[in-house]
Amino acid sequence: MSSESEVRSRYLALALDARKVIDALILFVDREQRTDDLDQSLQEVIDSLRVREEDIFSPLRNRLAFSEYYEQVRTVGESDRAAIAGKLETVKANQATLEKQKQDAFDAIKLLSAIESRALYYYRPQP
Amino acid sequence: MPNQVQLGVETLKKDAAALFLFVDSVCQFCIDSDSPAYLKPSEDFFKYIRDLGDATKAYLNIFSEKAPKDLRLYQDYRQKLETIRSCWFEFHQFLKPAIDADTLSMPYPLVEALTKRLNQIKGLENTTFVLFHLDEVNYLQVRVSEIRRTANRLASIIPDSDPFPADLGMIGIPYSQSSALYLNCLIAHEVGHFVFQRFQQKQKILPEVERCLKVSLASQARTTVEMLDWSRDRLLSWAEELFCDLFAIFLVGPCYALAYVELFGLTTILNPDPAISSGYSLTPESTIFSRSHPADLFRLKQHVALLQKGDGWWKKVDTIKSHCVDVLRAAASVSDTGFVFFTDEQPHAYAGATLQGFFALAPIVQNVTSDVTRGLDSGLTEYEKFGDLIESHLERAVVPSTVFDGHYHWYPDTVALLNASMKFALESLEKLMNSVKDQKTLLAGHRSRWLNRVEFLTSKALEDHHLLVKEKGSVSVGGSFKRADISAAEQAGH
Repeated sequence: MSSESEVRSRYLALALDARKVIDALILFVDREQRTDDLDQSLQEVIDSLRVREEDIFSPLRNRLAFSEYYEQVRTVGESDRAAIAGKLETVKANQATLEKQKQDAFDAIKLLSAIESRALYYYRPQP
Repeated sequence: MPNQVQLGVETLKKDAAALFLFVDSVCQFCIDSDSPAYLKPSEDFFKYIRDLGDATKAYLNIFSEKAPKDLRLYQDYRQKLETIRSCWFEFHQFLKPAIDADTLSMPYPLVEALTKRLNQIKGLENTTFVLFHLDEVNYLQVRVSEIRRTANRLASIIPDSDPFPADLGMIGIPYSQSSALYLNCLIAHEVGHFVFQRFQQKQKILPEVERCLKVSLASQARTTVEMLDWSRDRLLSWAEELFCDLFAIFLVGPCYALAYVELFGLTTILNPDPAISSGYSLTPESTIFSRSHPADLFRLKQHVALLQKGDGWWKKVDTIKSHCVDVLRAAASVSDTGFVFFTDEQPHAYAGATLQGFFALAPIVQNVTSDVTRGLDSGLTEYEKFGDLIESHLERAVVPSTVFDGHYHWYPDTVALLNASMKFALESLEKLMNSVKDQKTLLAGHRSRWLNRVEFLTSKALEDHHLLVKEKGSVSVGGSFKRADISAAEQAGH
């Protein structure tokens, strides 16, 4: 049922999915800690962002809010998708220098924060 | 700016404290006392929210200590408080309606009966439901998926918090309808939403959605990825609603379809104008698909298709003398070309092609629903055995908990009770009213009073059933419960 509250709830889910990755990335940038589930969290987001470019009908689209619904897809623009996925790949691969990884993680935090903020804006009840 | 406060641990502490207060104020409504009385699922729900609140508050206590030292990350870290706050906004809207729905203010005999029937399905043996009150005259479950989605995601960013209990569903009913029985059969649709999500039917249907859309959109030029997303969402949303309707019929029988006709006033389509040979004229609103729901008459058409396909329910429904059944017959005769979907989100032709994709999907949804409910007895046999006896009890204003077939006393089950009772209400209420002094069948007030009475008698029988089948000496014979043979026991005693 795509009632107004359902749509709002989807935006909240998008904000929460973004937050989960932001939390892990903040720890990485600020304390150089890689949490146990960092790689998995990054991979899930990368998959859900990348799948758009590959197969519109892929079941992967249903994993996270980033690709779950039309409204959410609209929130995350095509250029943002590519940018975030690329930067998250750098962190996950753990091959670049630490400074490069931290810079990419920092950039990804800023992009994901913007998405979280936008999603919260769409979620928020208006008085 | 000369007077600006320096941002850091202190400001985070203050902001976290404000949120702590808000969470605390929400949680204090999750009462933990015996009065008013709640069923266990409601108590479990309140406890879950309390526990989640405790975990949130514990996290807020240390939020400022865990702040990143890199001030460039301050704003990104601080924003987490707003995400947490939004989650508690979300929970806030569910708590009061759940608190209002104590045992005196909800149709708990029906809910318990539906739950017990649901528990017969493999994988749903432990499912229970919290009820909550809605301001609007509608029945809702999907918002529970919202609270589950929010709670689970919040749990993933709050340390030491648990995910939402997997077996706990939540259903909203109109606050005024706690004593109604027939309309509350629509709760079965909401149970369907729970099942759809619990069994991840979306994932099961998705490949079929893709297949149907690939065919129906093949001739559409310049279809973008975003348009395909939109089409996929429409079909999934319509498919879920259809699944829930069909599931409801599996769960409670055809009384669901008849309750649907009543709630949405669909007898409006009937037209006695002699110039209209079909006996009905479609109102535009009854044939329009909304963004989220199939058209009313399309849904009814699918109900009839299921009843006709099954083990004989339609033959029983077809004999009921009621204009509500005429509506079902009319819906069954509407061709797919009679249904439309208006939207300004996509070009008209594209929206039409999306709708065509759903027409191809609908029979598949029927099969998916059948798979889920495999093993669940339709209840038709018991209805055939006891339907007339139940009606004869209601005609005398007697609770039909136990019926006598001339040989034995039997305890009719949920499906037989609901459907026989609704049949009685639709075509025989006059028999009951005519036996009572000064009751005028043409007066809506009088009629409504006796309708309410029949609903009460049936609800009582539903409640009794679950006690009676546990009675010492009662036995199951061919799926029906028979009362203990009291006379034989007495003779043996003498």
